[in-house]
Amino acid sequence: MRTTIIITLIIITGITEAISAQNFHIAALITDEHNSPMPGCHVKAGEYHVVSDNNGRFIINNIPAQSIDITISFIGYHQWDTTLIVDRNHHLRVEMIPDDIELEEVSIRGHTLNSTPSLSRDMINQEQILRNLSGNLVRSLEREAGFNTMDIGAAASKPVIRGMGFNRVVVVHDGIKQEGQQWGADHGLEIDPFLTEEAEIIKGAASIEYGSEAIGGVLNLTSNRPPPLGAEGSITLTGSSVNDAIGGSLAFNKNSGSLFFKTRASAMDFADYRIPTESITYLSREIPIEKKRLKNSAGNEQNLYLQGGIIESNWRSSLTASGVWQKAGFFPGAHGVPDISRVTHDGDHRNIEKPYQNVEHLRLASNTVVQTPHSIITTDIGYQQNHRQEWAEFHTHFANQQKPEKDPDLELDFKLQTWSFNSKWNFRLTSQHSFTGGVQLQYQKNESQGYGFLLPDFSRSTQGAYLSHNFEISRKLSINSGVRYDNAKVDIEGFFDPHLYQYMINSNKESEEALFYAQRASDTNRDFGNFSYLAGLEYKPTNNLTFLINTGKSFRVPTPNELGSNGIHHGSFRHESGNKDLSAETGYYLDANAVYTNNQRHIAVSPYIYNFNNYIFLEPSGSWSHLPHSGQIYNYTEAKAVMYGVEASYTEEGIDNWRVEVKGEWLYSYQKGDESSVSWPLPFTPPANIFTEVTYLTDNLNGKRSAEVSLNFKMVADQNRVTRNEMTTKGYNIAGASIMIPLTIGENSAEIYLQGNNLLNKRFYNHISFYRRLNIPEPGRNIQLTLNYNF
Amino acid sequence: MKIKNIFLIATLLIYMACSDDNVDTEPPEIEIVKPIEYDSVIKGDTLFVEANVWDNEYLNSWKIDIHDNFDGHTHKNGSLKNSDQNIDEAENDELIAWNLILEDSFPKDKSKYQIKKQIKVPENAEEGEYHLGVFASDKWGNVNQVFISFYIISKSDD
Repeated sequence: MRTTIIITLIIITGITEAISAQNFHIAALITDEHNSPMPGCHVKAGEYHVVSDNNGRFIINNIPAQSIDITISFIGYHQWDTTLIVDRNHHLRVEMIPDDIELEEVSIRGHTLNSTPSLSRDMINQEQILRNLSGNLVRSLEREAGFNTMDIGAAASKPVIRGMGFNRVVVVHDGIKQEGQQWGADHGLEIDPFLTEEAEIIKGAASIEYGSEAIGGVLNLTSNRPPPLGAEGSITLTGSSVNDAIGGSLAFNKNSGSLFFKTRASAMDFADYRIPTESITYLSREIPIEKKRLKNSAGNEQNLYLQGGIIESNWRSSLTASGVWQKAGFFPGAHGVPDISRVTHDGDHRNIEKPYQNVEHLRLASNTVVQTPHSIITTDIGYQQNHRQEWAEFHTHFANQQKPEKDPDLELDFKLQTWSFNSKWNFRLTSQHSFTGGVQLQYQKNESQGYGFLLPDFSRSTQGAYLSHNFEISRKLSINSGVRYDNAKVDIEGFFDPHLYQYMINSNKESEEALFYAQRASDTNRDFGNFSYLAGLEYKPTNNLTFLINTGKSFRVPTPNELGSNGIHHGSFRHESGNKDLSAETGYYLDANAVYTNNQRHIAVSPYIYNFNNYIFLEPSGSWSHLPHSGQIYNYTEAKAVMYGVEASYTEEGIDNWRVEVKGEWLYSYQKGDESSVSWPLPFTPPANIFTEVTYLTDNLNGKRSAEVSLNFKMVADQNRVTRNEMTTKGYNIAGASIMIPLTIGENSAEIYLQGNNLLNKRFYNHISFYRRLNIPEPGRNIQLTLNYNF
Repeated sequence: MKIKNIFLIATLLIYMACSDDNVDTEPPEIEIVKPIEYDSVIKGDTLFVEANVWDNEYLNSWKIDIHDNFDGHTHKNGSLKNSDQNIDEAENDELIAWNLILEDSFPKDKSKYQIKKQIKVPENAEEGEYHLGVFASDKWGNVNQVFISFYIISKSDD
């Protein structure tokens, strides 16, 4: 590997040397004390002034032979000086040493290699996640503009970016795409909420780098940064009143300079959560909510994480093994027709009875980064196994379906294995041009079991290759462009249900009709090949102002359930029928981002528009399904769809002792069916909302950090723009508060976080929640205490 | 000053979001008049079903769905001619967990209608709790459903 790099470098250096005759270049890679690249460093070399790029590199070309003084500076670090005799090309490695003076948090962006800097990004660090901790990771990020959560009670959530969720959002964990059953409304994201060191929300199509499905955006989670030198760790304890939750996390890391390891173990246990209502109305029946707690919404979670790594001057590599185990109950009124006897309190709020789900997510990954003054090469290889089960007392409508002897109450069982390989090479040619080339390979296999059928066995293999180019025309203007080709092969194994066939025949249905219903999935073999592209521009007229604009085409391969399902999906309570002839979903988009930032204020406005030629969605057919408990048949169809919206955020800090944060978003969508000229909104569109937080920071306690007291409000509009058979949702205003007290215990730091959510115990509904259809409101007032001790 | 401006723009945006389109997303309303919830009917007799349906535009089609609610109970599910059966269960051999689906279109351009059906309960229907569901759709595909529970009993239970 190293030889190839050196040879390529020599060739390119040779060429550039030949071109530039007696002139030389200086190329350098600037890293911090963790060996991470440092972008934004000010470099003064003789008369030349440059700034290190997002990957910590700079190149100065065409320097005539001379002796040159180089000075590199960055806030919080000692200035780096040297004198170079420029009589040949120089490739430097600069290691910046931090200042001893403790300063306010300096946000350093760009720890990860990113080849599309023109997209709209929000960074949230570990401390902010802990401060806003709310049950799981995704919910803790909810305040960000353009980001929403699709919740399954209080247990699990999935991300929604710009109104797009399910398989239109990609979650990347340390470079590898997280694969679970994202298509299901009742399946959440399996990740330890305490683990993430940095969360990056990329809004907009990031298909060039992340492939199919990154249409709405990417949630990029990092947890593989080398720890500081020496040994350190933390203990975190947390408890929440709304669901009697108790949990904690223990982390221990050691870095000896060239070797490091990190470990973390977390656990959480929670009971039925409290909702501010005594009954809910579903299917015209009033279902009592005894003691105002949602029966069987209890659960528990355990997480284990181990990472070992090597840090060398030119490269670093880590190996990670992790496991996430979650078990959570389903409200018994959510399965089938509601039955009063099933929702009566059983005396125990912590027990998890059937129906419930459990999931085990195992992950093994290797991440390697090679850094040289010209190049950064990252390679990520991973294996994931997502094993999800749903348990419910054996029930069937079909006369001759016998209770299985083994695991009679195992309704659904999906074992999804994914093998991934990603590699990308970013090469800086000159101070103006850098290129990135990447390859992504993935193989996925699903095996289903259980007495109920929902998802067929399938395998999917995808290959993608891309090339992108960043051209810095001047300090104020740069252009990026990228193109990518993806190929996907999907193989679905058909499934014929003989019990259902017999049931239909016994009910005097024609054989042809019985065959249609009994063929729950058809044998399908499909190949999808598609191009994606992006063109973006970044314009900085002044130091404080930045304008970003992007346009391009992204695509998504249809999921196995969109291609081959046929039957009742109890997650959506309807008969869904797949279409094996669906083409890949392609979308054209245009988005812009205007940012004003100075020492005290940060203002951003991001409008966007997407135009889909063939948006895949479920269309009501108008014909009744003949399955028991079913309404009409919904067919997966393609239609033209348009969605547009805008996000805005305002942050003010450092003015007296106050911090103000205002984040808002507004979305609008519509879809045109083939036959009618009527346009319906797209389902699950989040309503417009604004989040405001005002924080008072005390003067630095003991000369160290400030304590903080905050008050926040969330104002959500009515969502009256719904599609057929979707419920409207009334708007609401909720208030919250939080207090953060930093402490010093001996030499170590600690923090106390006290958080209050829904302080007025309001009854409100989340439009995109799994439990919306049952009219189950969101959790009531919650007081949460988190203690964190760093040693 | 800047914060105030942002709030104003934001409030404007929020109210703009409440705009109404010309699309119809109102499903039909259904009221089951007969049978009354938890009523009993003797097997072999006629079950009278009456439901009032109305919509803000025009009704399209309806479906009556009758099936057992034996889930999770220890009843036998349906007609099983198992060789494992013992003598005591020989009588139950012919009983079936009754299910029935009836569907039809509403008369054209009606926004109000009463579904009236007389359904014969089979002689060999298994006793127990059953669900009666009525579904109705309008011309746009908006669907509503209502369920009630009723019991099928045998003559001797009277």
